[in-house]
Amino acid sequence: MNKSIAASAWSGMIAMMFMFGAIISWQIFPPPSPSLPMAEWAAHFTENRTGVFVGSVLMCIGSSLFFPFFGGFYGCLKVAEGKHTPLTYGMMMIVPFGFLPLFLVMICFVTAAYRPEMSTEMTAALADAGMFLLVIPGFIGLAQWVVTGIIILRDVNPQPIFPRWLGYANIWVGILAAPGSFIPFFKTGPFAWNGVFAFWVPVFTFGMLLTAVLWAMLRAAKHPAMQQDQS
Amino acid sequence: MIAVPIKQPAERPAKHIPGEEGIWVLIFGDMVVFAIFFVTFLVYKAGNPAAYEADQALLNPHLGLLNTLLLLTSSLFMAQAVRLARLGAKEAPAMITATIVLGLGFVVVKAFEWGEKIRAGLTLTHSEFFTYYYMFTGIHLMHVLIGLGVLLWLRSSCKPSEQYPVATFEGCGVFWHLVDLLWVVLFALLYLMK
Repeated sequence: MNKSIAASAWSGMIAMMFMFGAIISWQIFPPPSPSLPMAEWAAHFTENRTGVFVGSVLMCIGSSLFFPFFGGFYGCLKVAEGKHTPLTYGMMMIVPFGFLPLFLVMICFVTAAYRPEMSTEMTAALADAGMFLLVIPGFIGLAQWVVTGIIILRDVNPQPIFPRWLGYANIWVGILAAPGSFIPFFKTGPFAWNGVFAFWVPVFTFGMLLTAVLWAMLRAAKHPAMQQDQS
Repeated sequence: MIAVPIKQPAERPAKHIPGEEGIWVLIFGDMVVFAIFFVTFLVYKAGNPAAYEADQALLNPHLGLLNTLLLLTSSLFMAQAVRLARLGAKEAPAMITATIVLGLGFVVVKAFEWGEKIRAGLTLTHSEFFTYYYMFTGIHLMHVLIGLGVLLWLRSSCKPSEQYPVATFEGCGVFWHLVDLLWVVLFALLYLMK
């Protein structure tokens, strides 16, 4: 077994747990409605300051742990793609672009809660920015998962590194991530930031996909082509 | 007395899944999510039927019908492409070309229709109905564009004289039929249903 790949997969599972902990700690699961009065929305952060700060620490740990996970995932995808790996390089650039907003979400929420004497308007605006950063990168998710799906489906190995259904599942989740990019248009309904299509469907399918990827990486760690550099 | 011929049980054909098993993850997954789309739309519509019907009357059903005909015909050509690929006939790639041309026709009509609505001030945020109209037809259009990309790849990778990759033809066909099926339901839901 390729222990580096297996360790990367498990770091993804731990990362998911920390990130889920952060969202719970920020009290945005389920997300409050964007149509809340501004004072109520600002109070959500000023009255839960400790939760916001704890959540930020959890997010800091969780989002960092995602990078070893993706490192292992790239390792598998590179072997799947073959000698020349332009799509894997593309994926390597898209992922940091999609994950950087998570760091900024944390900064926005912490800043919103840091000085309770700050004006309601300022607090609410920072909190809005945090929610936008969290949900808007939908199209980045689309690019990331569709590219991943194509790499998996074009596997050059006689015995593929990942099962082909995982490639199709990636494309499916990618398509479903896209509506998140439209949240600025809405304050109510299924496409608002707390709506079924902008939040619940992408979050649920993303969670399912990450779990499937984790399982597939543990399986790929035993693949003969992943053992070649092991001493 | 009439002698009734006893029917011999026919040999059951081996089970055949069109395309490959994996693609059905995408097909069924998409169908489930679109079913959630449709139910959500109906629930919101039931809350304010008069407003929805007033907005529905602003749509151009002729353009919707034209797009339905374009996609249904394209699906027919796609089915022919799969049939001819199975037979190894040299016309199979031409059928893919016809499917692509009709699919592009759908995109052009959709762009014209959206342009017409936007010029009339009926944008994404005009009303709940138009939010659904743009979002649902937009997500569907994304499927059409992905389907066209896949068909272009298929068309460029097969020559008339070759042995055709039948499973690939079937997989592309299954996805294109999904695109068609979703549009037929969207057409009924957005343009026709009172």
